[in-house]
Amino acid sequence: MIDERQLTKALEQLSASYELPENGRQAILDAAGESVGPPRTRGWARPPRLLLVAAAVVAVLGVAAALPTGGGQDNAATRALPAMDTADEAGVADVQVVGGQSQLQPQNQAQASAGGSLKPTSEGAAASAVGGGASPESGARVVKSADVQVEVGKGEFEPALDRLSALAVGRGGFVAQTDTSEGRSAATGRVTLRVPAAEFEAVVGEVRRLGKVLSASSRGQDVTAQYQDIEARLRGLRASRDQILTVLAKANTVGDILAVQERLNSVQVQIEQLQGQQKVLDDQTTFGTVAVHLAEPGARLDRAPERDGLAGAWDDARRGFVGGLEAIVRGSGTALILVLSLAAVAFATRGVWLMVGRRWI
Amino acid sequence: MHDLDEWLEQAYAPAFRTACLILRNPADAEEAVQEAFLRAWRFRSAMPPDDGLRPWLYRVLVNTCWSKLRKERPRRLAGAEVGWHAMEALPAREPSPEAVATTGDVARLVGEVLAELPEHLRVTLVLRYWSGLSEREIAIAIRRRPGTVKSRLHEARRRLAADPRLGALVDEAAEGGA
Repeated sequence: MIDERQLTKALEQLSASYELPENGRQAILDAAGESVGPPRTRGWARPPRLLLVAAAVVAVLGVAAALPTGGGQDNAATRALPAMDTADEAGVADVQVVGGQSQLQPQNQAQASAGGSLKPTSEGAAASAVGGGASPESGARVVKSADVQVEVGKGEFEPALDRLSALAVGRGGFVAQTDTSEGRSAATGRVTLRVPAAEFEAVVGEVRRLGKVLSASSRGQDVTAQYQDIEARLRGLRASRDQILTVLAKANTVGDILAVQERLNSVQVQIEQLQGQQKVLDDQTTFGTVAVHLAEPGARLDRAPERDGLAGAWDDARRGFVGGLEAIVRGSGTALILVLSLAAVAFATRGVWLMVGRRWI
Repeated sequence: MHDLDEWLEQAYAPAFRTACLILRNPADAEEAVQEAFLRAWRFRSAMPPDDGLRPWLYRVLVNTCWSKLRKERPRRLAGAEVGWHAMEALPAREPSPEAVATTGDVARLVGEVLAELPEHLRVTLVLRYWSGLSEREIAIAIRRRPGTVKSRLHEARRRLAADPRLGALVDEAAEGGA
């Protein structure tokens, strides 16, 4: 067997042949900087897995218990909307109107394409929209969205569409999409509004005043940690890119230049990917989405406007699939919850065994 | 640990050289160490106190090294390692002439054999005989049981001893020592 002292000595000599990078420590300090932000907890400080699993089981049971047993759509709406008041960032609202025409005519000069996309025409409105995004004071970034179903009076469908368009533009937002259809006796439509985060709650409130609210729901997804993580990774990659550029400047041969260039390209691609993700998050947190379903009395609100051909077939298939899943969940009742709970307990047991067995600290 | 600069002062050099021995590429090692320190600092609230800090850092470092090795493996298999050799040959990256001159034959041969070891054995060997971690600390760093660490160390030493290049040199050293 090999002599351990000789091995240690040889490794010391070998490691000493690697020169420390000139700016290695400084690059880390620069990348860490102020952007790393407050320390995050993970790893050894995380709570025991058993506790997490127990919390998950309680959450599953809680959600199951809180599931509505049918009816009471108005109550669901009144429960969901106050929750939006606590969110302070961007939002999305979607409003459906049942009633007449298939064209949405904006009251300003914004363009209404076949897809129904309207952008804010005033720079001031756009600026206010950005200003209403993630609040710089708190640094929190929340993606907001809401879904509201409203029934309007007979013959009020078209005016309601106009009011929605005016509402979005007036609040610094725009109409992202419009789909309307005219049934035999009643019209329905779906309008998707993108509104500045700061105006989100106000817009939803205005939408609710369009008519009788049949249902409403809202969501707020906190993406602050994700955003900060992207920022930190970007900072690290930019520091690496700067170092690679320094190395590139010292390269003399074609082989060296190609090798460094390859590494540079790889880092640049990663930077661009992260910048893309950051841009998407910026947009999602700056503007909320409000989906409004409008319907005149007698129209079916639970279905999107009918479409023909493959699109219609796809809609039918999707509805059938979702309906089937719902039937399975409904039919399984407590059995499904029991199975989920048992699975969670089994998972927790395995986690404990791994922790004890591997003597993790 | 509340001061990143102070922490780097203490731990950067050994971490960098550990990564060099694992990755066999100073450029990759520099990136891995940077990523490891940034990641560790971001989660500094989870740092264990006192004796736990060192294996914790090495756990993060080993993870980043694994990521590098996984990422570079297809490239090596595709025969692109020539480019990486060129990277190593850059003036700012290669060992200094003084260092090359002072690196003994045993050390260079150990380096060659080390590079041919499977990654899991190389990591364990480096952590034990260069970084000086105990078997229990290595177990924490590589997320395996101490028994597994012991087994890997035994296997790594056996392979080193079985290599004719190294076996003969070690024998000569032993004879010389006697």
